[in-house]
Amino acid sequence: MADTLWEDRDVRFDISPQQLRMRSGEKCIDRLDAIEDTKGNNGDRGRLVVTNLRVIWHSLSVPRVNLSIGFNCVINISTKTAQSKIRGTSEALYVLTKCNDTRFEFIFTNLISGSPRLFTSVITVHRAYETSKLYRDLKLRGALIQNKQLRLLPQEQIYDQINGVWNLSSDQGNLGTFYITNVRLVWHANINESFNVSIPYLQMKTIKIRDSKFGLALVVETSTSSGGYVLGFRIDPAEKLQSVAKQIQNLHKVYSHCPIFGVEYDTEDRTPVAEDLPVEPIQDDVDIEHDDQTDAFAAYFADGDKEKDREPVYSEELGLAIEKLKDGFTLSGLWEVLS
Amino acid sequence: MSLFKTRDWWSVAIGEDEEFDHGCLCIGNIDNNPDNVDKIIIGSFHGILRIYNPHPTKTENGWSGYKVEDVMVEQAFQLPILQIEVGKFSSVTENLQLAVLHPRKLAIYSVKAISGTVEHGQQYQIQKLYEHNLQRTTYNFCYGPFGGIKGKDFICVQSMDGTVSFFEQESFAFSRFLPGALLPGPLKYVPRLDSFITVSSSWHVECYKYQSIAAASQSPGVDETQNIKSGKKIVVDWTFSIGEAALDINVIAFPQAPSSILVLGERNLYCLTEGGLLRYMSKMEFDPCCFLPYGSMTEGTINYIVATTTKSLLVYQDVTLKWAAKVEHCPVQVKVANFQDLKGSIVTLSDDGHLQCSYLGTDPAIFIPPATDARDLNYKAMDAEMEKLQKKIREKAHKAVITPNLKTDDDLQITVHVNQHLDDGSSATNDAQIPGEKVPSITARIVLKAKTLVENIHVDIHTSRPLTSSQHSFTLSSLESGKSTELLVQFYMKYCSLPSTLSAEVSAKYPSATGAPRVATAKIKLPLKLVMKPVFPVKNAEHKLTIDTNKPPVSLNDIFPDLLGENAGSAGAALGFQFFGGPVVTILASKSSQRYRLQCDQFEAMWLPLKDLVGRLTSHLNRGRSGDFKASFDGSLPLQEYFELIEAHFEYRMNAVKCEEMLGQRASQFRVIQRRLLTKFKDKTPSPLQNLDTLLEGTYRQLLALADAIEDNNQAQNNTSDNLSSGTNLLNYLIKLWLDLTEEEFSVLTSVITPIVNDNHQHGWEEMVDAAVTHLLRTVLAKTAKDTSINPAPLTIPSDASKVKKHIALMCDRLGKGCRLIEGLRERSEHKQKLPAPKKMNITENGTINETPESRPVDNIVNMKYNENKKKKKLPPLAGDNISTNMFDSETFGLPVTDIPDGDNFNEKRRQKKIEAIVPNLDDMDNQDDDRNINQTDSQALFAL
Repeated sequence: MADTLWEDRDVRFDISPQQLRMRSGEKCIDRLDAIEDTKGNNGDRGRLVVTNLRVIWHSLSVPRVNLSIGFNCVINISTKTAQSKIRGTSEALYVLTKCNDTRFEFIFTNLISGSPRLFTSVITVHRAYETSKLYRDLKLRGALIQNKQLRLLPQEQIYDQINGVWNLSSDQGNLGTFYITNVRLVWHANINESFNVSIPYLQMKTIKIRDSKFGLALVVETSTSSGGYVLGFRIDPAEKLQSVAKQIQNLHKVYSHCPIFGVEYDTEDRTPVAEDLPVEPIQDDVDIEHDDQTDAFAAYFADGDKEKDREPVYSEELGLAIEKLKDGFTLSGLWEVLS
Repeated sequence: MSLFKTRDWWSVAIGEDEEFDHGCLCIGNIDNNPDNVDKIIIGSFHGILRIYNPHPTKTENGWSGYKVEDVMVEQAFQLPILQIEVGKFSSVTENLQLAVLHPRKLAIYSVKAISGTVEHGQQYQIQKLYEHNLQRTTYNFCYGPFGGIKGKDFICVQSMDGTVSFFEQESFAFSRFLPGALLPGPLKYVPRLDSFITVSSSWHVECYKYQSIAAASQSPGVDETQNIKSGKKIVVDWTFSIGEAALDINVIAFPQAPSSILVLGERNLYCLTEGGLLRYMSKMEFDPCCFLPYGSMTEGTINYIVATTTKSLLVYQDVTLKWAAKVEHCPVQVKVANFQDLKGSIVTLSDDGHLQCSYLGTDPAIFIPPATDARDLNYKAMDAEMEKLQKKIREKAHKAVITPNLKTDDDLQITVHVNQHLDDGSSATNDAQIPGEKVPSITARIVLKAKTLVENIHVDIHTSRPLTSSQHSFTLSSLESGKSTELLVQFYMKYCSLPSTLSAEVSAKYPSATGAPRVATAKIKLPLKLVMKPVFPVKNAEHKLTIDTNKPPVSLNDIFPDLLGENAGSAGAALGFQFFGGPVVTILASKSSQRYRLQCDQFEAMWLPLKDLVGRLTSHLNRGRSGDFKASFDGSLPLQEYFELIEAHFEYRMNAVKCEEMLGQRASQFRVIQRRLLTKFKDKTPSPLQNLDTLLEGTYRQLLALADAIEDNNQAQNNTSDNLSSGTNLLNYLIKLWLDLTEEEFSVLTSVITPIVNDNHQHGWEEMVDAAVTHLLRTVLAKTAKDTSINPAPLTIPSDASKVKKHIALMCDRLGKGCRLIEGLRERSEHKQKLPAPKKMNITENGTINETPESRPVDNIVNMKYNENKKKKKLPPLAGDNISTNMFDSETFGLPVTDIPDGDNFNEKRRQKKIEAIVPNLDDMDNQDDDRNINQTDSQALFAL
């Protein structure tokens, strides 16, 4: 399912109302109704919705004008002063993102002065997202085991622990232990705890029983975005293998239906946000097909009109790696222009 | 400054709420892989050790970035990790091992790879080789081949108290105290010198030889322990003062570059030779957070990177800035590493765990893209708005000048309500310095109202002498939007002099939402009854002013209902008021004519009653009708009385100057006597003091007396300043009534003859007013074009006040002849017949303005009256000793006068008398002989010793 989950891993512009809708497991954490997108839609009042996966902004006058910024793309969030058409010089939220090697910068200004809610909401939710990666990301050789026990995540429950599971990634195989929880499948080698793998159901593509050179084995294939690994495990006897596979498949199904993303955010005494759609349904009699050809993103480039960085090369002059120079440019020439 | 940015090659956000600092990042081929590729090793304060092997692959979309299998090891320790280093720490192999410093433990680990069939099947094992438990809480450590040993690294751990402990791999060697340690600093080993470099808390770079540290053992026979209590002092090899704390030290051992020591201070970077001499230093315009010398690209130079708190990386070659680039996070440590596909990558770690391998971008970020117009635009709405705006502009364009409305909405509003009645219990009782009077006070309610949340409000109450307020300032921490707060302040008269104004000011200072300072002010009008009390009218007085009006007279009882006192039952033709501790002013209303008269023994005291009278008459008579009430002044201007005020004020100013000169002289005399005495005391053969001690004592008393005299003079000068201020107000007001000046003209007049008397050492009221009046005389009041030359003289204290008096008189004369104070106004009909010039005029204004013949008879007429006054009041000119001593005696003059040896007999005598007065009589001093003798014997006894 990870390959269909784009909400937190993509920056999209002018998306359809279907895409604006919350997916299963996605929760609206905060909604602010007077936010200006200072960079792309300066002077336009809009609504900002913070979910556990992304930040959505859409114009209130033209709801089709919108942004969806996945938290996984965010590099840095800071507050700086910006020039807003509606509020003049004011403190604004700067969000720097990188998506498919293109850096975008977003600036949001709260039109209600004196309220830090915009900053606190986005920054704390992003922090919560960053510190809960084990829920969503495949992890190899991590510090998962402590005192011979699995270090549990806050919303995690162990459903089953299975000893005598062979990992088939080396010639002789490694004997280890399975932990099956409501979020993920964890295996670790019995003799080397630091040799382990944590596979959230989110990242599982297929769970099958296949024949291998070690005999029948449980094969877990992970999503392409996580690296497309194929992990083989052998459990004896075959009936046990069957039941474990069945269990994992069922849990995967349950999880896919109702995913746990692990982004916990204490809403404090905030006005309770209804679990409704972030955008009021628009009565559009004609649904115009967008071919994703808008050039709205051009306004948000973080580095001028540059879409992609060039190759790194080693510079003898500086003794450091630099971005390959454009033809006809020299390092000292570029530097002297500035100074 | 930097237009360039670093480009991200591989990055990962590590840790869940973990913290990192300098020492937590380390680069090395820790798994001793034959490909000799650098790995990144990171330890966190939360005790988690992580090793990464960044090897992104290139795709058509650029580099793949972080991959799951890039993690080699992640291991949680129970103890915080303070520092990690890679070195040859094992005695059995020359492979690289990992040293991990915990607060009370030093542990060495080896990292071993066991390969699998696939990349993710590779496993790594961390094995502890040995560990040392430490007695003291550690700060940092350094390593190296101490003592010149080959192929091995020993470790030196520095603890928080500046103790250094040496470990020769598995075994403990010895511990020593670094001399004068207060706080530990960065510590590095210099292999070529076999020495340690540190920066002590005394802000010196210090170099200690390993030999001398090792040799400084307490007693040779005793076994070395970590738990040392004392030790010999270690001899420092060399020191170099940098005068600031150091962030880091690095030892340069690049083959091409001269071996040196780089020290990063909080503001500067120093490059020292190994002998402790400065090679160069570079001052920085930013706060550095860490640095790293990484190579020598040109023979003889050192290349290094400095990271700053402003999130930029600066690449230097010696003192030349070669490159600068912005980074996304503020690094706590920077390293340069060679990876599989990228040589010379910059590795940075931020305090919240953002690890980044980057390269320097070469595209300047100067392009700001224009906003694209792909959105649907509502042209109709825009057209409508455009039309609306243009219509507004057209409307406004007809009306005068369009000026930008600078008045922004004030976030804070001040309103003031003054109570109708005086306070029941006066709050002035304890504070007022007016003898024999019960001074009343009045309460004002100051209401502050905020539109938005305002914080840090500072409210000041300004009053002018002799009025004062019960509290001069208030501080409010915050005021919420829409809320208001009340402050209660009592006002009262504090000093015994004449108030020149009855208004006070409230100002509130606060920062606006954007942080800019803002000030809101409000004026407080205080009632006359605060400074005056009703008394019985006095029949005769020295000075009289008569005011004409155009309305039938009204009963004074009607217009002064609150100041009647015991006069309440009278006919209302006469009222008397007395200033607290001051003169009585009587107001008389004519029964038949439309005139009012004020009389008082002190001319300037009539100012406030006059103003109040006119104000009350205006509001009384104009009530409910169109305001056609008009008061006018028809008498002669009381210039003579006014000039006496100037004279008195000027006299005190001159006194102040003279006193200060004299004080200076006495002080230098005092110092000379001191010096003489000192040489006498120092002399080995005691010689008689020749009464120098008596002279010293006498001069000392003179100094004290002079200082007191200056204080008294200041007090008196303040009082005359207040009087002059009142007098100036009165004169200006009379001129206004006399000539029926417009408000605009009146404001010019008050700014020229200013009622603000504020003297300081640079310039005083007389010369300022003189300069202003002279300017008027040469511009708007000039008679001929010839007079209009403007040649301002520098402002210096004049020798006498005659010039300013002359010019004021001339100005009144010109005004009386119909000149206007503002150019372009119609000439007024002459008021010549009433011109009240005080003296025979023979004014030569720079030799150009001569006395006008037609004014002479008038002068004479007017002067008759003044001459009478003069006879009565003015002191005869100073002549002879008699009078001058009188002057000294008279209290008001405070201290005379001059100490300038001008050869003038008169002055000389005066001065002598003065000194005699000040210097205590020597006979009196003899009466204290007993004490003095004891003192003398004491001092002699001292000398005998």
